[in-house]
Amino acid sequence: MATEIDTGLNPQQPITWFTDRKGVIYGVNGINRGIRWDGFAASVGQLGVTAPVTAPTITPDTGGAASAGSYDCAYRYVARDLEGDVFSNFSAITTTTMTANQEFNWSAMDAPTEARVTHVQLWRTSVDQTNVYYFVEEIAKASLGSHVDQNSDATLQAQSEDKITKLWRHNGETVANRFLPPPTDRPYGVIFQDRAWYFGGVRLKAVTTTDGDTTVVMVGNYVPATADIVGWHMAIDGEPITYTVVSVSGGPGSSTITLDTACTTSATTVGTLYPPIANHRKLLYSEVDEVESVPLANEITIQDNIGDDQHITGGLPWGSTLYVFCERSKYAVSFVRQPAVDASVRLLDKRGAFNQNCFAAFEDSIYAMDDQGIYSYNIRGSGNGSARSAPISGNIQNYWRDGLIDFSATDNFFVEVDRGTAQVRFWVQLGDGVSDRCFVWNVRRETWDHERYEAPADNGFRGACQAKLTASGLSQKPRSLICGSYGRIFVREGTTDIMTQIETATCEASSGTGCTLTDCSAWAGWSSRSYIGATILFNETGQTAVIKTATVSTNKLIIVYASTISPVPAATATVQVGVIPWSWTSRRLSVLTPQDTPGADQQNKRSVQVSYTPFSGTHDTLSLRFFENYSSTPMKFSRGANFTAGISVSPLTLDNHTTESLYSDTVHIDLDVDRFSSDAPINGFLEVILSGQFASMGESLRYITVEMSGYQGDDAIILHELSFAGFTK
Amino acid sequence: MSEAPLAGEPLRVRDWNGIMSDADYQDLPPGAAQWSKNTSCRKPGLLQVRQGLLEVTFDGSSQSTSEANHCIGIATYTHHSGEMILFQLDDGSIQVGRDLGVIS
Repeated sequence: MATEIDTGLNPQQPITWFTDRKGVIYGVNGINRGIRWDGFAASVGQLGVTAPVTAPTITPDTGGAASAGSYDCAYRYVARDLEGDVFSNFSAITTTTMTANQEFNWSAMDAPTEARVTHVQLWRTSVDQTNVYYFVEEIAKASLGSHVDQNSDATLQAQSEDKITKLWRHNGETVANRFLPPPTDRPYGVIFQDRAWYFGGVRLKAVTTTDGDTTVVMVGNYVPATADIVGWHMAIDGEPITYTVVSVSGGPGSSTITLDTACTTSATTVGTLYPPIANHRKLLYSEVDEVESVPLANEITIQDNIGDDQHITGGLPWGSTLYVFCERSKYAVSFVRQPAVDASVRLLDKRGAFNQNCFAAFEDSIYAMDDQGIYSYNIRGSGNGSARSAPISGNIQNYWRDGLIDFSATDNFFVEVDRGTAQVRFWVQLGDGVSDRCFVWNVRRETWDHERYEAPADNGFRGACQAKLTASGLSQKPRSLICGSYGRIFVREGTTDIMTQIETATCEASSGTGCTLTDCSAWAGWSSRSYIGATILFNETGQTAVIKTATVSTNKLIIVYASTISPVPAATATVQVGVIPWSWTSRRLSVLTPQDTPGADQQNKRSVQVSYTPFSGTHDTLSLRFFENYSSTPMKFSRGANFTAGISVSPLTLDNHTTESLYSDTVHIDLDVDRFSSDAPINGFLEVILSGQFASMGESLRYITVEMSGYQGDDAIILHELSFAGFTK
Repeated sequence: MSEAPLAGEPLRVRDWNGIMSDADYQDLPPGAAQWSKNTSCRKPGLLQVRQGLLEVTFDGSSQSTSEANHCIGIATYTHHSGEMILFQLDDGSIQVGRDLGVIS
């Protein structure tokens, strides 16, 4: 089982992860305080260390070595991690006047409240100085109380460089107070040239009730109820202005929010929470190699150069450039040493990304998906800006142009790179509410495929990553992992979905919403395995259903389908579980005409031939259907029983030629049957004859479309050739 | 009646060009598909049904998670001690998976 290392994060915005060169991984979501994890600790830590508030109390007393004059004193927290120390900013400063040879008695310092903090450090200036501070003492967190400092200035000044700091550099940069924790309202983070960069902003929508005053109630399981959103803005449908959040309480499920100004109406409507809009195109960056130190001055703004103040949707560092994606544009950020001084920001082109998961780098290109379609951006190509951008979704562009993809669900879209197969998958929703299908870009061949994975059975897939399987007996080739419903992670392996092999069973009860399968106790993984997401094929009717829940009852499996099926399969139906449905539909082919070939208006042989890799399994199927001219209804065949052994066009009960209603529209091929001679091996070839005569002036076959389809079981279905005799190119 | 084949070679599809849904279906290259589901040309000349999808397991267990919640994000964490994955559930938790296997 996986190990839990954190709880309580707001799931409205997925975490964006990045790793520094010390091997620590960091995560931000723009709602909660960021997190860090070193791979060893039992749980994550908070990102950054919050500074103590209260200034120390300094009580002078006899017995020390102070000089006569004024001293500034402060303390800070230390988180001593395996990878080094992370500090807080200084506390408020206490200025105290000492006389010669007095000691400093430190007390009344804030006890650390953050679990990461392990120590407290005391710092003070030398006499009558205000900028340079010297390390006095480090105290274990548990021992914080009163402490005596009898050091002379000379003693402190003789310490090593790491025990001397200053408040400001000569150019105004902060030093001792550079350890401001990263912002909590930036959902995207990357490491770029040894600095961490934080940017973007979330927008949280929920049902909101106003009271005509300053109090509103937002209802939703994940509406933040923490001080993290104080200062955020709130837009409420029907209200004339945008408000600012003053305080928030309540939750989960219902948060009471106090606004800075009274609303004008009492109504139940929709509210949108978002961080201060002035920040939404600002990039904040950390100090060098200090991921958790983001002083306020460390920011650059992406200016709006195209008259379209779009939101930032993500960022991707590559070489000397940080690519910042907006919804419909893309910028390149680069710098040499100090971004505030030498950073440059360039508008690259007017192609962006739907969200932070809708772009990915593979080899020397970025592949991304936005509201115009899918495109690649060649990182190392010649030319600048849009010259490197190439739309690649032309062959499937109707899915964008005609609105076939669900543009209201783009938050769930994502891009998956599979290094092993050189494929990039673009996961989308097509209006059915589940992101369980993708368009597959074959990088080497520059072709598109379409895949649908029923496995989510509910909430869809949400993301992908690259990883190796390291368990014994498995290839450690590069793999792509995808995550989705029911907390599961999947990898492509084998020929069946969810099941390691096709399992069979018989129903003892059946309805449109589920069934009960009799004795399944011989199934692989029985009683410990999840069967959610497996596709059930009903042998008698050819219907399919996807398992949404499967409850074990002694040796039976009580199944609920993801979607209702109709008609209801027989109560005694037999099923195969784990099949992969597949189909392939050809172009529309023209029959040969006399203009193509003399004699085409005579009775001629037309045929469709399929060659495939034969095998001995029993669960795989290949069927052919033919569509005449522009019809969407498949052609029907009157010939029952077998064409030859292994090919049938109808149930075995069909009486040849007699009843048209019993004609079949599908040619079924038994892939494991020797169709021609019981003495000969299976040859992996079949031919369906469609002979006819072309009638130039009459109604006749002019075009044909061929559809191959079926189910893959325990053996891989491999097709070598489709051949058409009597048809033109 | 005669069923002699017409002159000329049959139209052979050996090069599978994927789907081309945004075009006149009469003008597609012979190996292109109007539409397809779960097929691809991973090896030149062959049209294959996609691979199956199996559940990943961690640390030799037979199940990856409790199934009580949905995954909303995943990331690879390349640690000095080896590779692991982090994934976020919609209950607000972060999970770590090590020693990745596949359900058997």
